[in-house]
This record gives sequence, C-alpha cells and structure tokens, in this order.
Amino acid sequence: MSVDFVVEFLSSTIRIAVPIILIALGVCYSEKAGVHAMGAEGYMLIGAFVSVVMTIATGSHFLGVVFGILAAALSSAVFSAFAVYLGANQVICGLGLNFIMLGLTSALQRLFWGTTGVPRIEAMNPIEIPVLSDIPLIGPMLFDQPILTYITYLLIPVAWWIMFKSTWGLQLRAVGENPSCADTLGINVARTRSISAIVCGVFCGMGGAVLALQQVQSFTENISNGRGWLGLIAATFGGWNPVGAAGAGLVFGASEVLQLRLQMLGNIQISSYVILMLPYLVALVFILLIGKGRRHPAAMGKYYRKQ
Amino acid sequence: MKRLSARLVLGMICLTLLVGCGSASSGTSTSSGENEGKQIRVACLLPGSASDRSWSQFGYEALMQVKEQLGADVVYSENIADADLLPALRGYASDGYDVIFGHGGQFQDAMEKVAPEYPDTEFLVICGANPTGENVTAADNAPWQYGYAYGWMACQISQTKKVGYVGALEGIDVTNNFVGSIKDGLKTKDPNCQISVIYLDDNNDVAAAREAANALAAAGCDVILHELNRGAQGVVDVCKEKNIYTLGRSEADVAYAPDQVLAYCDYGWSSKYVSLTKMAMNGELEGGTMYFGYHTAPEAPGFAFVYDEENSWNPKAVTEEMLDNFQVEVVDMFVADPIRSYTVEQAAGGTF
Repeated sequence: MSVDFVVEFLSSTIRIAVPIILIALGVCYSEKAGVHAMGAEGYMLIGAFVSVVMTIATGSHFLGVVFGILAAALSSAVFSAFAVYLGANQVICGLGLNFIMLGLTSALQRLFWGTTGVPRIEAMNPIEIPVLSDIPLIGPMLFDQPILTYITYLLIPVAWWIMFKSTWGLQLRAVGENPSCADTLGINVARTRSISAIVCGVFCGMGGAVLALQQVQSFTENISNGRGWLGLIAATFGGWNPVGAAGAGLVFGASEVLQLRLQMLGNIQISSYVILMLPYLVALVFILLIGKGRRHPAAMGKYYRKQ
Repeated sequence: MKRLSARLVLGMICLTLLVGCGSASSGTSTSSGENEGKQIRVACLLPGSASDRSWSQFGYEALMQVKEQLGADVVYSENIADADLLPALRGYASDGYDVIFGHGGQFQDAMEKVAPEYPDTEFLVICGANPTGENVTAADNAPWQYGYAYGWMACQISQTKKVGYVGALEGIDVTNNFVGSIKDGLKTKDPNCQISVIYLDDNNDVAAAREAANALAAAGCDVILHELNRGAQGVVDVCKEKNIYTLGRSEADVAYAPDQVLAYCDYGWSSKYVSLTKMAMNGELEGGTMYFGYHTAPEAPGFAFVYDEENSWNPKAVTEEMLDNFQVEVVDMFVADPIRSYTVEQAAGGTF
C-alpha cells in the first residue's frame, strides 16, 4: 500500500465525511435538548439550494454560504414553532419538512431554470496552509482543503466545549433530560429547545452548502440523497457528543471510500450490491459494539408544557 | 385544544405545500383540442427528473417532439418510484391514453403485468429487451454497439492503458450488454489494456459519482467512461479538474470541458419516439424488440457520436487514422454482425 494511496484514501474520507459531520453536530444539539432532528435532510436540502442560488446571484461563495445557513435556520425555526411551542409531533413534523423541502427545492429549481437545470458554479478551491500542508502524510490530507472544511475542523471542539463546558450547554442538556426540573431552576425550556433546534438548522444548512459548493458545484434535485439521515445516525452512534458524532461521521466516510476501492479490486466476482452495503454493515456493527449502551436524552421527543 | 389547532394548522400547511410541490413532479402538456376525437394521446413515465440534463430529459424532449410533430395530447410523470410503477401505468391506461412510453428498462416488468388488462393501449419500453405480450414493444439502440465503440476508442486514447467506468444498476440487461461490450471492445483492441468498473446503484448522486471518478483517477485511469444520469456531471467535473478524458452527455458538456470530453452519444430518442408513435397510430406494432444501430442506418438511424457540428469525436484526441480504423474495426463489423449478448458476469465490477 503506497503513501499516495493512503493520502488519497484519507483525503476522500474527509471530503465525504465533512457534510455528514456537520449534520451530526447539528443533530447533537437538537436531540441533546430533547428535540428530534428528523428534518435534518430537509434543512440540508434548502441550505444547499439557497447557497447555490445566492452564489449564482451575487457571485460570492461567502454570501451563498451565509444565505444557505439562514434559509436552513429559518426552516428549523418554523419547525421549532410547531414542535416546541405548539406541541406538534416532532417526528411527523420533521418527516413532513423533508418532503416539503424536497418538493420546494425541486419546484423552485424548475421555476428558475426550467428543464435546463441549475448551471455549474465555480468550485471553492482548496487553500494550502503554509508549513502545515508540508507535513508528510497528514499535511496534504488535512491542510489542503477548502475553507468550509477548516471551519468544520474548528467547529467540532467548539461544539463540544459549548455543550459540555458552558452554562448554556448545561441548560441544553438539562432540558433534554428533565425539562420540568430545569424549569423549576428558572431555565426557559421552550426557548432553550428552540435555539437548539435552530442551531441544528445552522449546522445542516452549512452541511448543505459544503455539499453543493465544495463538492457538486451546483444543485441537483435531492442533492442530499440520504446524507442527512447518515448524519442523524452518526449523532446517535456518537452518543450525542460532538466529538463522538464527528468520529462516527469519519467512519461512515471511510466505509464509503472503502467500498469504492473494494469494487476496483481485481476480478473478485462479488456483486456491487453486496459491496455497496458496506457503510450500512458498518452501521450495524457500530450498533452492536457501541450503540448498545447508548441512552438517548430522557425527554427526547416529549413536548413540555409549562405548568 | 391548542395542540389540536397546531396539528390542524400544520396538516393544512403540509397538505397545501405537498400538493403544490407535487405538481412540479408531474406535468401535462396538451396541444390544442381542435382535432379532439382523432388526436392520439401519449403518456410517458420518466424515471428521473425531466430537467436532469441527461436520460430523463432526453425522454421529456422526445415526448415534446411527439407533441410538436404529431399534434398529440401528451402527458408525463417524472421521478417515478418503483412502488408507483403499476398505479401510474394503470392510471394512464384507464384514462384512455393510446400509447404509454416507459423511458427505461426498469418499466418493462410492470408494463408486462399491466398490458393484458388494457389490450387497446400500446406499451413501449425504451431500453427494454424481449418483452412478453402483443401490446408491449421494446425499443433500444443496440447497447453493445456503442459500448464496444467506447471501449475500443478508450483503449486507443489511453496513455496509461488504464480505463475507468462508473455506472449504476448492475445486473439489468442493458447494463450487461453495455458494460460487457465496453470490456470486449477494449480487450479486443489491446488485451493488456486494463479497465476498472465501479457501480454506484444510483444514477443521480453527483457527489458519489465524483468520488468514484476520483478513485479511478487516483488509480491511474486517464479515460473515464460512464453511464449515469445527473451523476454524469460529477465524472465530467473530476475529469476536467484532472485533465483526463471522459464522455459527455450533451453538447453542454462539450462546451464545459472541450479538451476532456471525447464525444457524447446522441441516442436519437426524439426521432424514435415520433416514428414509434406513428407506428402505434397505424397499428404496426406487434410486440417484441426493435434494435437500432449501425446495422439499421441510414434508413432507421440508431445512435451517433457527436463532438461538434463537424466532428464525431474530439479532434484533439482522436486522429484521422483512428477514425479510419474505427470504421473498419467497429462500424463495418457491426453492420456485418449486428447482434451480441453479454452476461451479468461479463459486466461485473472490478479490475480486469
């Protein structure tokens, strides 16, 4: 196995994993506060769509990313209005939102560009970090990436610190475990949950922007193609801990890259459908090895009404 | 009461939006009703989006030609999921549509099931093979002919003698014939030329297609072939970035990557849809399979490789000598011996 192969393998892993990691970070925040994040796929879709539309309209990737995040945050705010304040079923609300976003982005795409499809946009080019990118093996793998990938690196420890070391993180965990107790301590349960759900939207919107602007360089119908769900699973495997969720996202990315390389091995005569199951087999193994002891936040999915 | 109201409001909003969005995934395009009574009614089921800039869009555009040239009353549904195949076919047939196109081999099984219930409707499956039933007809460009041509040409072009292929849906007839013949053409030209085949099980995932193309490029492939719908965009992007050769899906890809795209295949679906609809109107369809290709040209042209108005292949990559050899070793060969068949094992993934 050559060094080039290892570098290429790990670079691909990071590329594939970054959107999944961002979704997983968002899901951690929402679900740790007791709000199901079933709408992650929908947030990702609207984030991807708006980021592409705004990049085309303004010629600025930065504005594209900002508006993509805002659109996803707005969607999650609407979700939280129903799920957190009005007590609508969170699972149904989230699933409904996914369908709405799929239909909405497809319809708007058709409205704006007809059957010609969304044009390609200029890629967000990798930025080499001086000195660091020269480190053998990990240099080109970690430090020759587009800007949103670097931001994702930074967000993992920041998300962990906020969740486990800050006062707001403590409040967030409290409303996810025992909202009535948190309420008696003076924490505004609905507001905390609502903000957590919106933070989830922000992360998912950024995940969509990464997928659309850094990878696909355009928008296509159903561009997320299940990556939102993978992020949701990664958060669960990571025990709703941002570091664990990011690790699970990396494992999913690596298994995806591995299945592509396995298919390229010699004349192995194994159906591609069997090899394509690899990421899902990895998920099953995770459940057996790690997921068994995982306990979801005690009040997850439960509507809390102030007495 | 508050929660009930919330649910009602949410339900109304979802319903309204879903109904609104649903209209975007199916469409009707009806010509003027002045010939009502005589006007032929044609429905088309598309597996993907009518704006995918690839396979499903070819079907949509072909259907629009049927409307324009024959004045037909046309309707289409896009993004048809497997579970919706039978209801969609029964819906159109019971609504009295005379001809129903299924734009892809995946519609064949469902058409064979539904066709006996509606003997007055002609079911036409594009890229199908050997259908059962008198009112089910399959039409296709001979996939082994253009597959062999791609493999032969890729082997000629490749400097590393490593060619990659990214596809979807392993195991169906059209894939077996296409991928099997790519390998055949490549190995016939040079047994030492290597081909790596990756299947994605998804025609439309651009990001996954990009990663597959990246993997092939990293393995040394300097020509990457593909047979994808929207996913093709990912392969073309990677090949442009890495300055290696690939195929286009339309003239837009040639314009986007003129140095990397070798050619795109014009499958001629528009003319085929029109002529098949005419045959249906005249009662000339009798079931079975119709293959178009080098052997039926020029009377019934099949497919054509196109680079620009003057060239069938990229002139910067394909020399006159190659074209002369191509005529003898590919075109003339299929004119003399047009039919071939490849198995799922011959089209398997891996490196060969």
